[in-house]
Amino acid sequence: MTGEYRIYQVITKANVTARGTLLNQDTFSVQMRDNNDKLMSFWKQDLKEYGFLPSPMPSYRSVLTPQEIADVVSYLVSLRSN
Amino acid sequence: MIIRRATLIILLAAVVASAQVSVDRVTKSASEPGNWLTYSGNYNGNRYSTLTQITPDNVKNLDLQWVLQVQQRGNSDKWEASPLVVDGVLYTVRPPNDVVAVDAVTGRLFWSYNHNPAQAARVCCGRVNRGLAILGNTLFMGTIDGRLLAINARTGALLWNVPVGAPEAGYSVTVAPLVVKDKVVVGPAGGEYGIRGFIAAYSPTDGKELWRFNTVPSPGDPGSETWKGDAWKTGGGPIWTTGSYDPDLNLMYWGIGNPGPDWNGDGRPGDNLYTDSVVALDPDTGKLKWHYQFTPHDEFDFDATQTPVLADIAWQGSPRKVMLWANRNGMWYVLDRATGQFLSGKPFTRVNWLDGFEPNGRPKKVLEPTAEGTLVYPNNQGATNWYPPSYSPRTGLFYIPSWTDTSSLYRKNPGNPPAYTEGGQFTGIFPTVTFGSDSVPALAAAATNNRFSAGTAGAVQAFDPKTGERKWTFPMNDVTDAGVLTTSTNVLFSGGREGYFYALDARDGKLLWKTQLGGQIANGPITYMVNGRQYVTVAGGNAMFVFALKQ
Repeated sequence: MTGEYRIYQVITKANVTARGTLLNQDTFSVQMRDNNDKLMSFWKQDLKEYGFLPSPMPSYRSVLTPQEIADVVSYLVSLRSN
Repeated sequence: MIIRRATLIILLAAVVASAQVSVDRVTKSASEPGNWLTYSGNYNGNRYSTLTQITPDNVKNLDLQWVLQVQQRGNSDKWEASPLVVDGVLYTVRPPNDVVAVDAVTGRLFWSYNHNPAQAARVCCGRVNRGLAILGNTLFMGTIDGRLLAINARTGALLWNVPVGAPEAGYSVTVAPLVVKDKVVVGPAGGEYGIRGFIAAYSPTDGKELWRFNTVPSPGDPGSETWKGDAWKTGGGPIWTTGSYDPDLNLMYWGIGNPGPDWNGDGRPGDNLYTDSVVALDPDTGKLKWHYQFTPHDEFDFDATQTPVLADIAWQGSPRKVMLWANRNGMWYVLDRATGQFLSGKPFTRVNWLDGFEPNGRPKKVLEPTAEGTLVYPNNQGATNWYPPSYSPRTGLFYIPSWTDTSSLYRKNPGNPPAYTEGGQFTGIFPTVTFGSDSVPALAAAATNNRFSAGTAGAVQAFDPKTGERKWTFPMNDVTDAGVLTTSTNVLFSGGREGYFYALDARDGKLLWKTQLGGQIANGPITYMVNGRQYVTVAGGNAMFVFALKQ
């Protein structure tokens, strides 16, 4: 799953939390768009936590066998237009 | 008016007189820390300066002094040139082949010389140039259409222009030449076009070729037994990173690039000397004194085109003249530079293509490309590459700009190597760059980076060559094509693809200062001094930036 489909969260040292889409990151900073489409930028040194949250989609790891998952993926791929 | 004219004449005379760079000055360049007279700043290749004005305590006070922009519209090639500085004049190359002379204090232009490369020029990986050499009042530049130019350092006038290799056959010259004694030494790039590489010396006065060392030997010559059939004719072995020189041993060291074709060696069975090797040559004759091959029969594009770093260290308790080498193949080496004896080889990143060494230093290769694909660490772009490392005699540490935990999937059609066509790419199947579930753009700067954090990153790593111990790591979020500069005050400068130019404490890797240049850094920083003030410069994106302490 690419980053644009995952939820990114930062928590500042002042305990302000922001969630949204990670747009960019580098060694020292993070740029994101929050759930209200507000563009935000942070220095990592000002953050207590930052990273992707677990996907809200439930895992099928224990529901489907590996072969069943492969079958689903194969079916979904077959839906692509040529 | 008369006074003004007289003053002008005196000033011009000062510039003209100071531009003379004798063989002796080049040879003793390490004793002129205010200038930067060779690609690496000295013959040792260590990119280390003894200037002392900028320190760990005051580096936070660095201030931008001036900026030099690329002038060619639409140019998006990486600025890989390392400048020269001679008595207050800075010379550099704006990509692809525009030479400029500027006031090193103000950045104002004295002159420019624009070489328009022939349409036949073809380069695998960008229309780049890595810099100049100087001797007397003459600058020397290789061009991407396979030529070597001599330019008057006072006026910018072209003095001569000679062919090194045919551009229509894939020969280009991207390396900064190396002046040794009365010779200008270069070699051609073109390892992706089936060239037959060489290192050649040219006369500085007229460009006449004086000697040539073929990096792929002719039939019957030593090393030719490592080739079969006609494979030597298109065997590669390009040159695209400047060598080093030990005046006491009178040995010149050059790293040699990949064999051709890159990723399918079935048509060239054997070790394929002297590809992926370091060679020690007599600079007077071009005769081979010794060689060491880092990656025999390479099928992973592990060019040995890195800067040879010469250091005098205590090796197992005894003084020894060694060569430090951080290789694209993920290993860093200590060699005896007088004899070529293998002393040590250790990984500086995740490596899986070898399982140790034979006693003579030959690596035990365990992987090759396959029809279904072979996952190899490090990746095709290498764990490091041409961008220069540094060695500080002050700390005794070797600093490697590196890509960590990267891999590529190599595939080939066994028994069916690619066919050669003059001027066409001669490579095999391009490897898939695979970093876990991520992909990192191989050569272009990433505009944004929202990848997962999967361990793949850039880093500056510091190693103790005496013990092999990793002393510290400065991790970066993205990979890096930036070189490293160290000073005797224990300041380390580097950067990366993210556009940060930063200073670290060379002793422990702690961040001291950073600034954002807005474009990737793909060259090695340098430092110089004019009128008692120390400057440090690096190119980022399409501009070069010069810093000094606030006054």
